[in-house]
Amino acid sequence: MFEIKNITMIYNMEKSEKVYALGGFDLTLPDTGLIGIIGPSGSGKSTLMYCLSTLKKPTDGKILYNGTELTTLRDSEREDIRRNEFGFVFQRHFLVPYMSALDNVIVAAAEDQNTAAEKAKSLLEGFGLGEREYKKRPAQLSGGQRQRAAIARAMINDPKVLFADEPTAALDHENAFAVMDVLGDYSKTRLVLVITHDRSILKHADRVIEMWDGALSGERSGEAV
Amino acid sequence: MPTSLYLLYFISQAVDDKPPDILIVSSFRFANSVYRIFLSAANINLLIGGHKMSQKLSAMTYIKNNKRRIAVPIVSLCLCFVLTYITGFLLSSTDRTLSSVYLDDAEKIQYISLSDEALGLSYETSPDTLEERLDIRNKAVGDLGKKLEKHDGINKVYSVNIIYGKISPAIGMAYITIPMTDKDTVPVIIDEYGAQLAEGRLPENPGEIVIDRASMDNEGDVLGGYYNYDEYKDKYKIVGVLASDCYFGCGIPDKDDYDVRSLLVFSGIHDMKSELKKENITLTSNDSVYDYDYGEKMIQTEVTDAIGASTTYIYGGILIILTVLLLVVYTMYLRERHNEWCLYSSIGFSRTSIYLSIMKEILFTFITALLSGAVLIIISVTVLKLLMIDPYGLKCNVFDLESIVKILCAYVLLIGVLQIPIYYALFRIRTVDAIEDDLY
Repeated sequence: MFEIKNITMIYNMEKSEKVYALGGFDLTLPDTGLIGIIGPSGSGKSTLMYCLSTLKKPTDGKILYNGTELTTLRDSEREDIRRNEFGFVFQRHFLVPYMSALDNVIVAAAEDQNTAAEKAKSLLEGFGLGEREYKKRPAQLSGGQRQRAAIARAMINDPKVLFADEPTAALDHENAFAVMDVLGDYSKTRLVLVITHDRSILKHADRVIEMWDGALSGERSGEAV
Repeated sequence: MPTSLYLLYFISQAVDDKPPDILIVSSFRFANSVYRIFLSAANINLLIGGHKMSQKLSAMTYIKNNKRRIAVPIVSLCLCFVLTYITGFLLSSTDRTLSSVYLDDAEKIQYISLSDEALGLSYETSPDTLEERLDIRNKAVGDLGKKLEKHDGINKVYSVNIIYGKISPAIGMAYITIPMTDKDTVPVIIDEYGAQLAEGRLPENPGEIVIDRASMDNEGDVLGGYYNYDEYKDKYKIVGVLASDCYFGCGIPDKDDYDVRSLLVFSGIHDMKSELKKENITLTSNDSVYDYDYGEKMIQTEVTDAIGASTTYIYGGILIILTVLLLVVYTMYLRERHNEWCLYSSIGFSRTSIYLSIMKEILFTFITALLSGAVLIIISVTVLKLLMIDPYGLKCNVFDLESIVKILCAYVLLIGVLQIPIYYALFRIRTVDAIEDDLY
């Protein structure tokens, strides 16, 4: 699905002290599976995710997504891909404060309102948020419920790739594993990229890519992690 | 299914929540229905075009969840709309009343009061006594009347005495001219003018007068009372009430009045001075010709010059206050929603989609304000007309197109001005990665 060649990301290009977030490496990612990317803070894992998801443009290198070169796309084409092919779970949940959990999921939908509402309800119920919860606003939900609502929002359009940046950071262990189970199920038919520095949640990952200082430092199976 | 049933279906489907205030409820619901009908029409249009439209950002989600916030600009816009219209309506009572005095009346009748000099009479040829002098003068006036009667466009000319009555609108004052003639000519003039006796009787004795209802209401006169008491004291007794479109009256001169004749001309001629010129009459500053041209000059002086400037200041003031208020409120709202739009941008909504959703919210606000304002205006204008216009015999424009045009222009201007904070808010939108870069 993704073919990454010599991906380089340099921050502070205009300054004398350049920061190499991604130091130029190759990577190939499959169409399906749960892929974990781990590494300490500043290792470049979030930058890699943002480059793959078209939110950032790498300084150099190529990112081929199903044969399409993402780095040369126009802004509108990148938006289309993000909207139709990708789903996002950010470090912070970024739920809209005035909307109910249900509306927060529906807002990302590409379908008509009624179909989207039915699908959103089913997703939220699948994540353990019943009718009482999905009518609540984010401030009235627990951290785990918010994160699950954010994941439901990311999955509303059945994205081919789901990017999850520290999806369990705000959750207790029980909730974290519950969320990972959901992502694991989804990865059977789609590609799920999870960025984390919590190794324990990646035990069921198909692959775990380790990053260090902007470079790939190793790759293992989830069980090995 | 007929189109009307489709509309009813959309309207019934559109209403799904209950805002707190009754007026806002109705306006919200109606505007919601109109808005959804527009959206449905847009969808149908796109489907006919063969494209499947992807889900856009809905403005209704924000509106539904932020009724009180939306209510602030709606109420402000609505009140300014009402204030602008009511100001225009009240000022129109002055404008319409003075127009009725100076223009509507002059479309039917004109008055000519000439000096001895204009009539070609000189002191050297005049006799010694005042009565003899008046006889000669009145004969000259009568002769001129007969000559004018032969002009094209002039229907009838009467040689009459005149007195003046007052009409007081909200701002300023105007004088109406009342012809005074003999008992037999009074009904002829009233008939020729198109007025009818509605109450009481026609004048039969010197010092009796009939006046239209609006003039009486304006001055607080009553049947059996005295006309223009401030000026004439108990000289002219009101014996009848006329039904007339314009301010009008007619009577018989008091026996002590000097018999100074003027001409009452029934014609549709706007420029009576030209007709006098044809009779070699040279007018001086001592001569008065109350025709349509004179009326237009008076309207220019009394209304356009006097009220026009203050009206502009009032409208300008309202517009400036409203602009500042909306700019402050919207800048605040837009700033609060920065993260929301960054999220939309990150998950693939274009800035155009975000801009359109903001504009839909603003249009909803403006349309709701306009509809609520229209309802309030109908109520206020009806009440004001009953309490402040009709009882004082004033004229007014209930449907004031000029005010409506001004309001719509102000709305367009305000929407234009709001593009500045909107543009700035759109310019500041970043994707989530940039926000998180700032955080870590």
